[in-house]
Amino acid sequence: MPTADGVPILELHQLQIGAQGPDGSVRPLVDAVSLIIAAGERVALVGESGCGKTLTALASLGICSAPLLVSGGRVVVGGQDLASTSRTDLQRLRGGTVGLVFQEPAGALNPVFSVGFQLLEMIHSHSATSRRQAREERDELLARVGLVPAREVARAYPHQLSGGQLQRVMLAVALAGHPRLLIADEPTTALDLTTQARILGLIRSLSEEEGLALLLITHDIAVVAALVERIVVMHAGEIVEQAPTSDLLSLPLHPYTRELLAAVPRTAGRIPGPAGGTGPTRAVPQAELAVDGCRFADRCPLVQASCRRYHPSLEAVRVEHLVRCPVVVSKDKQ
Amino acid sequence: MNSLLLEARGLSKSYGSRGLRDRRTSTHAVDGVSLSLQTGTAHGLVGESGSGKSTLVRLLLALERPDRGSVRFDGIEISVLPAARLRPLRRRFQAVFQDPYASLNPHLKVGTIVAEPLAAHGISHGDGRRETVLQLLATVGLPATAAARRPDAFSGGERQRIAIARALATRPDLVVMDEPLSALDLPAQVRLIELLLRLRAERNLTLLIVAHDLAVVRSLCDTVSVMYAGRVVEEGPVEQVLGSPLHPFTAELLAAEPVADPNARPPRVATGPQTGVWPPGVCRFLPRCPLASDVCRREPDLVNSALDHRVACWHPG
Repeated sequence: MPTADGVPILELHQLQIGAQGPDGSVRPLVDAVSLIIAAGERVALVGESGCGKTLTALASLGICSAPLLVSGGRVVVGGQDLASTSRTDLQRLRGGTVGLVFQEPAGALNPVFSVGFQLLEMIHSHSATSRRQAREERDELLARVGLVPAREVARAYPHQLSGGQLQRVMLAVALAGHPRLLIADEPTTALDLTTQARILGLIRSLSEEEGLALLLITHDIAVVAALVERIVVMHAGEIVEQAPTSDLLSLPLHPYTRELLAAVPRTAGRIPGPAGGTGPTRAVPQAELAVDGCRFADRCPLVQASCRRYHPSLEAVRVEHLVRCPVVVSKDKQ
Repeated sequence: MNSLLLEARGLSKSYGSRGLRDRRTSTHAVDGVSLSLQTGTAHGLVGESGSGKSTLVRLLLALERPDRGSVRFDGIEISVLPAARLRPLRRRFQAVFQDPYASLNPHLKVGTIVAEPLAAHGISHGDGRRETVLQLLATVGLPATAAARRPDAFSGGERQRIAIARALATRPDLVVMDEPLSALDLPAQVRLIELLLRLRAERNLTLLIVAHDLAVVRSLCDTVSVMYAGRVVEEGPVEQVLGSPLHPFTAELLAAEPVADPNARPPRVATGPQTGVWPPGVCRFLPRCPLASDVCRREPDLVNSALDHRVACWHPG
């Protein structure tokens, strides 16, 4: 939430993203997503594959190419409406105001250039420094993400580094433009447990030191529990619940959020098997958003007849806790 | 009651490589590893990237020859077998890999992909083969119409089902899975685990599952080996190894597991170097170990600590 002194760094207003078919019709994929991230705030966007979380992130950077298109709503980054931003300003914004880290660091780096060269490229494209200053900045960035000795790492090619080291390089690249918002899409999914813990710790300390706002995209709530202040849950293209992290984890309201949390098999031990029955077992419906009624109805344990007739709206049940489920909202009020 | 299906003894494999500092180095990817799989059981293999899990899998599947050591499959020494003699045996052990986007040929129809092992091993023809393919698809919970479509029509979880159907085509005794779930989101993981549990029970399959997610091992496996720097540092029943770990590295792995609790401490981040070089004969975990002492300058062997629970550490527990 925007604070009195903090200007929001990212504002999504009723964002709609669709895929345009050959006949010109638009199939909606992301529907009326509104999300405001204050400067320095850390937010997670959680949901399963295909729920639209990555699309939402890409649209926040104005990256949405055919057949995808933003079919409605507004994206405002650092006070600037992306719809009225020129191409050159957009390029300055990507990697400048907003840094981006993807799931697969190996795929995001060019295999035929050294990582130091690619980092220099990024530094040059966002500031007009001399070559020597740029090299110093490069070494400084590598050291900040824990890659030492920086000179030696800079000479390495992507294939010579491990997944965890590459993700650190990607963080250095993302930081090179001095961003105010870092968008990280599944930054640790490809990494092992201990490396994941190290990278998340690094992201957290960078965000704290720099006052960097964070939008973390993940399917695994547990990964972000210790890292973000607010969690936004997406299902089938829309936000179904959002709340401060501790509220959402201690008192999840939407049946889908509960399902996601039940699927997390950490200290509880085993992933619920066929006998357990608490996990989601039915097939995920294909993202077909043009239906009346609640999109979760077919999988929902609390489903009522009215759920299939009216599309529920996102309602506040307490301060900063919104949920899209009339069944739990009416229960909560009692 | 159980019989020994796969037995590896003292496996070692090293690769020559050029290090970051342009020095010729030789990396012991796997160093003196032994492993036994009983028929019908599921064994987990956990450890960090670079700990040798995938190399060990390649050695066990006879995709590579070990520098030292042996692999016996159902009593037959396969690590020295010439390719022609190995081929008929291969239908009895199959593999499923991590990335269902990379492991399925995007140009082939799913029916053809699943039928490939049947063709390669000359099993069934014509209508019989088509029938087998449809049965396999049904077994993994995919509709018959899937056979006529290409991989890009399917989600990650469905693709992994296709890869499993292909692995089951030759009715193998052993299926080795290298990170079978890590590319999938949680609901898809849960559904796939249900499938694997069912297949295991129905077909008396023996499973070897490589994973970095301990929850997957807890859900699927009876026993587990923890690898660090090319060696097994702890092994035993899952409840014992992951419930009361004896090796400090296993404890570190468990501490790094994320927990969906905002009041929990953030995952502990170890400070020691993560990969690396170690002087010969010294415990490889020494530079990272919170319990290190003088005795750790001698490399510990894997020894029994309790029944079936083995650990390679001078300060277990």
